[in-house]
Amino acid sequence: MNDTPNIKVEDIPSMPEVCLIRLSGELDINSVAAMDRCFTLHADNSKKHAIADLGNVTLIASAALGKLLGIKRRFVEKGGDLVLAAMSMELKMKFMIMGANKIFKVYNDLRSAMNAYAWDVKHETERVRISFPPELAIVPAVRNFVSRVMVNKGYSDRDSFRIETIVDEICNNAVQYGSPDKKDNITLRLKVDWGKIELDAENVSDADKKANLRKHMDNLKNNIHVQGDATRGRGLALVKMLASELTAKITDTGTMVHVTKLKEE
Amino acid sequence: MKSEKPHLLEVSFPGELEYIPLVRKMISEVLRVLQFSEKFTFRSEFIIDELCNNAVIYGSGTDRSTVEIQCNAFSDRIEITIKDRGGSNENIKRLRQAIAEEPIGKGGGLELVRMLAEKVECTIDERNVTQIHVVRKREDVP
Repeated sequence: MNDTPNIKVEDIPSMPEVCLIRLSGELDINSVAAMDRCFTLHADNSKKHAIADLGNVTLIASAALGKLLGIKRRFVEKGGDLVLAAMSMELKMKFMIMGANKIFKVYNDLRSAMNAYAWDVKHETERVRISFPPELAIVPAVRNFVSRVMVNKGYSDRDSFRIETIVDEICNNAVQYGSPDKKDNITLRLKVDWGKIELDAENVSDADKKANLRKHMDNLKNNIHVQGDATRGRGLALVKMLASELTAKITDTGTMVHVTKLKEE
Repeated sequence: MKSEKPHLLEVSFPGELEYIPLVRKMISEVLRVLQFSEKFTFRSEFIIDELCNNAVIYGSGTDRSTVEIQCNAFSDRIEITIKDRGGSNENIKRLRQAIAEEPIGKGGGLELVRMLAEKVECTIDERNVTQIHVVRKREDVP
């Protein structure tokens, strides 16, 4: 796109509505005119959102900060925003002293800024895959991880805890009803959306235990309640109560349990 | 080194810094379960943190890509492999320098990793896909 000595505006191929502004050196009063020229040139284009990469900026004078505010306002008027990324620690401290961190969204690095845009604005899905050995003792680490991801993604503590409970149950089942061979890992896939999470737990079947799992699934499908004195089958019933959707595919080679849980709070 | 079937833990996550503490914490919890010592676990967590940070910060900076981490836990060691889609030519050059133990201006994370690990290897393919492999021996086994 356009270049001036310490300003470069670039496209991001995977995000056509976002422009990447690379600033460098000292942004002082002399840079303001160049910044203004550069943005006026792009004022009427289709970009609604901008990420300013400040990784190579050594100083931002108040005049340049004022200009950035003006540019941000122009993007906000178009329904977008200007966010800042990759500031040095020193610059970040100065920003905080000036109170600018209350006005601008600041990200540690460029990729985090892009990912935040994809999550906050585009509501794109984030995917995580975990493959772990079939051992019950490892399940708490996995469920803790999922719960922390949910909290980070803005799910409430209650929702996160319920998702953690679901993960615990389906992973424990995957271990208990699956092959105990160390090489037959269990795979847990998360598809985290703005309003829901989808979980897939997949194991390698243990032929002897498959029939039992199938029986539990059939009971659930037919709404047969677990009897008070039954020692097995409560976990899946609990998952069914907590989840918005629960399905299982039991084949000769493996079992895949799919759970959808909508965000409640 | 013993050749045995290891415990394999794999995680693939979006290239975002906020995921790193969660991933390293999970791996350290798993190592604790597998009876690795607190000290070993904590230092391994440090290695994972450094390598994942490098993968996110210096990896593909203009693309939404994932970082993959593989941790093989043997009874006498762990082997960690971290893969990302690779960054700019400049970052790749810096990584090569860091691996070759040439002094570089910034960071020093890889130098610390080298101090804590027995082996650090790096492979970069023609599409800049970067893979760092680290071997760390358990200190409490002969």
